[in-house]
Amino acid sequence: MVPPNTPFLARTLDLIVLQLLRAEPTNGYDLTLRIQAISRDVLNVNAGSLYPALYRLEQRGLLKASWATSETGRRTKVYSLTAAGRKHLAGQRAEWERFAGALEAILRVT
Amino acid sequence: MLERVRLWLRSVLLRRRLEREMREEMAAHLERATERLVARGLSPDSARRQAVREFGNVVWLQEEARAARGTEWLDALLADLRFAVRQFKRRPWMTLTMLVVLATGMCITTLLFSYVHAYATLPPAGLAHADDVVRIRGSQTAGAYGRRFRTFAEDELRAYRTADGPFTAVTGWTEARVTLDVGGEGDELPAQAVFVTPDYFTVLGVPPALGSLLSARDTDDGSRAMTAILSHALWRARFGGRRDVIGATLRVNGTPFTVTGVAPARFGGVTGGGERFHVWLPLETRRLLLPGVPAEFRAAARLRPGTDLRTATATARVIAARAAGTDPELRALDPSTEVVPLLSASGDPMFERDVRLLVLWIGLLALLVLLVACTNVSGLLMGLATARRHEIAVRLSLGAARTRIMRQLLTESALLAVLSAAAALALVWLVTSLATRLIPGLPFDLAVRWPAALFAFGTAFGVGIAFGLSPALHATRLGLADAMRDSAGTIAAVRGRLQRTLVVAQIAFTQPLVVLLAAVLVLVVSEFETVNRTAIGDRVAALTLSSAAATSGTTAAAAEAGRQARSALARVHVRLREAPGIEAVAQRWTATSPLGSWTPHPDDAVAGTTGGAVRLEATAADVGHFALLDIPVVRGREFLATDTSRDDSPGAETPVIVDMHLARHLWHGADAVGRRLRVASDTASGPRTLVVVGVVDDPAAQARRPRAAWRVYLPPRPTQPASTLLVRTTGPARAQAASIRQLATETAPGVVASLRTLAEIEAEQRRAFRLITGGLTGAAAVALLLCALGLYAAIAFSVAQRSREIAVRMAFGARGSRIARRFVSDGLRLGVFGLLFGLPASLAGLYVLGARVTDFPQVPLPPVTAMAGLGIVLVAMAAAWIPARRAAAVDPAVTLRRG
Repeated sequence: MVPPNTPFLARTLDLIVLQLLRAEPTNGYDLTLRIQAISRDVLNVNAGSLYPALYRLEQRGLLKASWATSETGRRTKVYSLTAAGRKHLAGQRAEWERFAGALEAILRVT
Repeated sequence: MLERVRLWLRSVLLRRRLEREMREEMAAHLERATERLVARGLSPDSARRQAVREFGNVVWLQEEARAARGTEWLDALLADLRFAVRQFKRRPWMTLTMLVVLATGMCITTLLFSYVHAYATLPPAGLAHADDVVRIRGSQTAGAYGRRFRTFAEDELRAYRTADGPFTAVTGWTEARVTLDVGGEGDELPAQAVFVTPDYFTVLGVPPALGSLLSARDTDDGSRAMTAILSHALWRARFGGRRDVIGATLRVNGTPFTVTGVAPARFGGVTGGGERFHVWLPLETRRLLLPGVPAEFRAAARLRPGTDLRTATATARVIAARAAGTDPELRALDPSTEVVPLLSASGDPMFERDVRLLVLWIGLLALLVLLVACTNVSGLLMGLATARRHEIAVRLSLGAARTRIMRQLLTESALLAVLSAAAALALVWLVTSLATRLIPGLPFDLAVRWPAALFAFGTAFGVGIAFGLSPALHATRLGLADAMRDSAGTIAAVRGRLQRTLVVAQIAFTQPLVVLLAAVLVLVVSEFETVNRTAIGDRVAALTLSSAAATSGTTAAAAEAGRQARSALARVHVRLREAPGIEAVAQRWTATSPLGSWTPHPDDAVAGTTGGAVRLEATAADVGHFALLDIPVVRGREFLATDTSRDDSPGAETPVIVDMHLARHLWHGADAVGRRLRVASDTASGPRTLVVVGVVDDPAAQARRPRAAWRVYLPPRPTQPASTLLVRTTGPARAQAASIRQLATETAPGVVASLRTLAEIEAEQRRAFRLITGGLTGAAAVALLLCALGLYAAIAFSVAQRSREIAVRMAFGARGSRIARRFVSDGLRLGVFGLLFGLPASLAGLYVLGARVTDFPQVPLPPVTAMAGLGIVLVAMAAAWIPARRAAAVDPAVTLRRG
């Protein structure tokens, strides 16, 4: 059973991808596993959403991809951040924190 | 930013590889997901199935991925193009037709536009465009015609050259027809000699192709002054393009010159001149070649930096006024000068307003041609689009956006336009190279200039695409159910109506073209009908003695030059008569003057004749004219020397020689000699009574058309000597040409003698005639062909639309021929509608043509229009008959089964 995704996922997918890839460059499949693991099954990204996001970010110059051979001998495409990507990520994080802080303040109001 | 561009380029150029990598990535992803599920305990098959389910829609994902990469437009475009090519391959003939029609239309438009642009905005051939090179152009009044151009006398030119003011340098030139003798082969060449001031080539900015061009130092040393510059065409034609032409000897009218340079390609001087070959000679040598003949100059100059045309013109006007001086005759002509940019158009035409009119007419013509081509193609495309309505309807119902389908149809017409453009380019190149080879001496540069060509091209392209838009719009508007039902109802009616409107429009556009072409054709034919083949044409030569001036200048110079030429002619006439090998010499006049309407004198009328008036025009004939040309004198005699002292006082009777057919027309076989004619219309000047002294059998004098004028011969006036002599030789005249000319130049050193045999003159006229009529006929044929194509498409479409209806009728017993007749009459109706709509434009065009051409009333107006109309109708019927025949051949069983 695939757990339903929260509706906020779509908006923040770019941020998630960039952050995780900054921590550790990896390929698409492993990225889905990591998202699922780190978010403790709250977020579940399927291929249909992830790959378009990866390609979009790559086209914008925020990610770069290179082909490498994994331990199992398979050819995988590994995505990693570019300098522009890191700058963009920092900006997005700052914006998210501002937004989250504001939202939290509003939600505390009774 | 740069990075983004690089990435975009990469995704466009490396599409295939990126696609492959994407598939690989997805496959790897699926594999690992499957492995994971297998590790959890699922069977391989169900693991796979689950993995796929979780993956999502692969195809959709690939589309999304492509969209993310930003290249889906490219994929769509390529797919559209492939589809378009497939469609074209399925209907090769229709595609070819559309290609040819569009290419022809684009080619014609581009050529017309480019030539008009070159003529009106660019300098003459071979000259680079420079803002500061200007023409100093003189003008004088020309009565009712406004103003005409004039040349300068030597002192006026000097005034411009020495004026301190707007010009840094002024150059002048004067032209004359000469004969060149190259390398002693005895093969003589008519050419245009241009006598120029030393700075001519530097002012115009013309670099030499070979050797060096005249410069100021050439005049200091008298011995070096006999230098000549050849035109590029002359160098290629008569010197074989050899580099050793520098230093070769060239005889100009017998005088030797040394060739020191060759002008660059295509340069033929500033004014066209009409001759194919040019030589540039230093101005001082003119005194040797044409002693005593006053020169008529034209001038060009370089503007001082910072001076504008208006200031320069003001200064020039002052100089012109001073040069006119106090001579009342000169001042009456109101001579003036202006400074204009140096363009092809500023050089030649007699009356300035002709240029504007020419540009307007040619622009309209180009537009008309393009419209015809486009409506034609639009109609064909309409038929195509409708034939595919099933396919389009299905695609629409499957969810294709209307814009997507429109884009695809537009891609098709864009592809068609691009292919046609390429074909048009090839055509333009072909026509240009053919024309430069066949028509020498054109006054403007024939090469296609790229800016103008691109503009015309782009316009044609845009119009072509716009006309493809309409079929595209219409084809996508129909609903699915209607299309699938394939009823002969609303859709077919709407589509068919649009196509039929297009065809009618196209015929309406073509009709003025065809009618005008036919009118001009008739004009030309009637003009040249009188070019007969003189039986002894190769034994009679026309020797023309002329002063240097090609056109007339100020009165004083022109009159003096004329006088000199005429007295020279008289001397040559006498000398030639006594020369060996010459049988006869007579003066020749070619000009005819209208005499008005004449009737037989009542005292001399023959009983039984109606006495109707005839229109006459007169040519002068010298003593011995008819004998020289072997024209038999049937009754009476030739003119005698005593006849030449005719006078035009009211009571005097002027002797006249008429053709025997006119005599028969007026006096019905009775002896015409001694009978008189009386003028019926009121002419202010000219003879009022003519008395017949001779009757000849001269086909050239006969009136060919009912209302045309008969030509009669009058004795020459002593105040109106000729400038040409007819010389009859014992053997072929060409063989004696050199000796005749030599005799002439010895007798009259100041004048230029040129000689052509009558046979050569007539051959030249016939050649020109054939060229023009061939061109006009070709153009009319092309126009008619376009009409036919459009009609054919419309009827074929109609037949295809109603094939089920036809099948049903035939199943019920209708005969095929009857059905075919209905379609033919349908096509006929379209043709007639087109004719009716095009009629106002045709009539307007004919009216304007009649106003500009003086002899026009001679051309019968109604028959011309009727003939053109009939031509179109016949073509319409033929074009409709072919598809209609197919309708009759429809097998009801097959059609109904397929439907």
